[in-house]
Amino acid sequence: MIDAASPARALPSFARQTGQPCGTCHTSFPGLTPFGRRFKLLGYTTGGGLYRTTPFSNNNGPQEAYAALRAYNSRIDGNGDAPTAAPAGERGWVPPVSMMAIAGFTHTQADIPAPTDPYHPNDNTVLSPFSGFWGGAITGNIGAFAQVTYNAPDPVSGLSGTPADRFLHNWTWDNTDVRFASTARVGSLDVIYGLTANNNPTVQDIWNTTPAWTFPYAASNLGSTPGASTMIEGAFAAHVVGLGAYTMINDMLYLEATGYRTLRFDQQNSLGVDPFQSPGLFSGVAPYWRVALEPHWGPHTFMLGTYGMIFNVNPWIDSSFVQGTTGTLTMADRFTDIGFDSQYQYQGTNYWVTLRANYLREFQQLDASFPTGTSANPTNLLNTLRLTGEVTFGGDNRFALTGQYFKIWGTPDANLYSDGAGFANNSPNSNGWMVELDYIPFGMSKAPGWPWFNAKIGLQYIYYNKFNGTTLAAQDNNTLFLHAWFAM
Amino acid sequence: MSKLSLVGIAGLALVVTEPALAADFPVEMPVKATFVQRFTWTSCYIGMHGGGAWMSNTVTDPVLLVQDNINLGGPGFTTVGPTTVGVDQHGVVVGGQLGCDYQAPSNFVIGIEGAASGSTLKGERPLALPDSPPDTALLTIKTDFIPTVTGRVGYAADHWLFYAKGGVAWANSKYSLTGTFTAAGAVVPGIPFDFEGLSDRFGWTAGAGVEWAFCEDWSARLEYDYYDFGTHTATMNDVANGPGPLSFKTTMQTVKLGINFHVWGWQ
Repeated sequence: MIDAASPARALPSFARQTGQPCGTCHTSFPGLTPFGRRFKLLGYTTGGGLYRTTPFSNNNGPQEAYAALRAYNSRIDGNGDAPTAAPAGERGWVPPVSMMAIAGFTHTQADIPAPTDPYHPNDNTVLSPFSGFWGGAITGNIGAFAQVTYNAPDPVSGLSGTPADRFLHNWTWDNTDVRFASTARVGSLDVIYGLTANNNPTVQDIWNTTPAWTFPYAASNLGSTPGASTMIEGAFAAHVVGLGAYTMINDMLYLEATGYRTLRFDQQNSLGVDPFQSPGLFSGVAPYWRVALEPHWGPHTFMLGTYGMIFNVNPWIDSSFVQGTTGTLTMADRFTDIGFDSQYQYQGTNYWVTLRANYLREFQQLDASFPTGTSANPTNLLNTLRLTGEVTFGGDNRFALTGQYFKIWGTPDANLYSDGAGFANNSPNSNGWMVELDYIPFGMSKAPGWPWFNAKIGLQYIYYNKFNGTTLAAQDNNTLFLHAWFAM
Repeated sequence: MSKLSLVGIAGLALVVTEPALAADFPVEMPVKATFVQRFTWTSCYIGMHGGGAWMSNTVTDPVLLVQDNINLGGPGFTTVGPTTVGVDQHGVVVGGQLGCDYQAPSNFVIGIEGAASGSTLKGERPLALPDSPPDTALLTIKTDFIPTVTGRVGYAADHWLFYAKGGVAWANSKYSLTGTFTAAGAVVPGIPFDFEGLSDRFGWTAGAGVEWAFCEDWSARLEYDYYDFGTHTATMNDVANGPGPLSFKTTMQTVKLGINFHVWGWQ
């Protein structure tokens, strides 16, 4: 199951394709630099590495855009010795396949509820997740980021004990984004345009402010997370497919519109997704929009944007599957999520400073949940705020220090946020801090592992001031997560 | 690879067809040049594999778990003696590997490898419940993730490598025991039960295989592996009826085909 805490990726297959060290595209991976954002914008197709970019030779892609992209790279300091890969593409084609694994040690302030099998009550070391990827070009204009992931199971105590447990899976299709990209000149405007087919709203976004790629990039499967979140924060990740169009005008104004539909119950189950872990199925197409303005001058890059999505959701009739039905109610709940985000990025001599802000407001019109008693109110509000600061420094961003303040607050609801659901005071409110220190030993291009192997050592601590509606024992959910992230 | 083969053939041709030159040059030169430039398995690699897997489980004691449960049979229905049953799983494995090898001048090769496989291993076994005839229980075992860390030693015969390997392995399994229990003399319907358990098994593995470098940068392999995960007691939890222990003794065999892409040093 992918969610907002699902780890994201920096792939050696991208490094092989572009001939660039990790630090060209990433600050603290998968946080993106201006180069990395435009590599994604161009459909993961930019070449320049030792190997042929695609198995096909009839289309070399948007060369002018690639040249402009390389201009970003020439601005980057502290890059180590970027390989010249001369001549680029001389060697044969290698499939852009990568693997990733995270091995982590987790200590929670309070023990896991018993029975804890297959884990200890506390201080566990777990290999999770493990992923396989296609990451790179398919043709000169088409590229893909597609992921299959193994996630370690929850403890036995986390099972519901209902027949719905049969739909829990450990292997799942994960973040997937297939793109077509090209360029054009419209009057005096330089335009990059493209199509995206993806399975997670905001996975296609190129900034790390939006939910799919926001910090924290790695999270323990044994740590507690707040029970309330807006729909766009992963509630339908991998439960949907979407097709959209986007454009970047004059390397500054980004526009996107995408429509999403939920997969059928059997399709979700076949792809390793538990359908009952989403609120239901969409009624029709759910529209997603994105507008962002990114002016940049010298070493400064600034972004101000908005995005959002409207979900009409038919809730499950019986998410416990006791009645043996996979049907949904005819009435639909309507969730309108509107987000505002901003990012400032400064490229110094051998360091980056990145500040990110994201605010989400969700308007809930519970036309299905209120009559059935799932919610106590006909309408609710839910808000999420994340303020993040990141400093990376050293050769190819070898060290990274990231901190974040997060807050979730909304309308009290006696049924949605009941004691039985793990909340107190009928409140969805949570807030706290998280901090992470990372070391990337092989980030430099001249390291022996490049471009076949990379690793990241991270020490993360999450502190809760309030958790699921109460400050009482909120710190029991504090989590220390020491992890080693391997990509190959 | 073919280029290097031609060098070797050319060197051989030089010796065979131009014997008069032997008096002018050290006789070792052509032989040494061929030796130095020949193929070597010294490299690191990443690759993928797929194949079949067979897992064997000896389970003790699923009947007791149900019949002695306080909400089901209870102490009054205590089963006499342990019940041990076998559950065989079979399925496919698909995964990836990353490793490095070093080939000594003596042609012996030593290496280390990390691998991870997803699997569809599943097995079921219906069980009679003697204290609740004609009720039965269904014991199901699924195993979906098998990572390994192994070392390997082998002998290289040019582009062929014959090797044995051994190391440690893990296996993530899910167990369930479901059915209905009708206490003797009770009215139907009986009490449903659904015991669920999880394990992350640790064990050892040993195997052997042959790998063939079939073109520049690429090799293919065929490998057999045996795994022993020992005996493990899992806590089987039923949300309605409570927990109980169940013991599993597990071994596994796999046959896998793999393909590797070699980097750094392959000549």
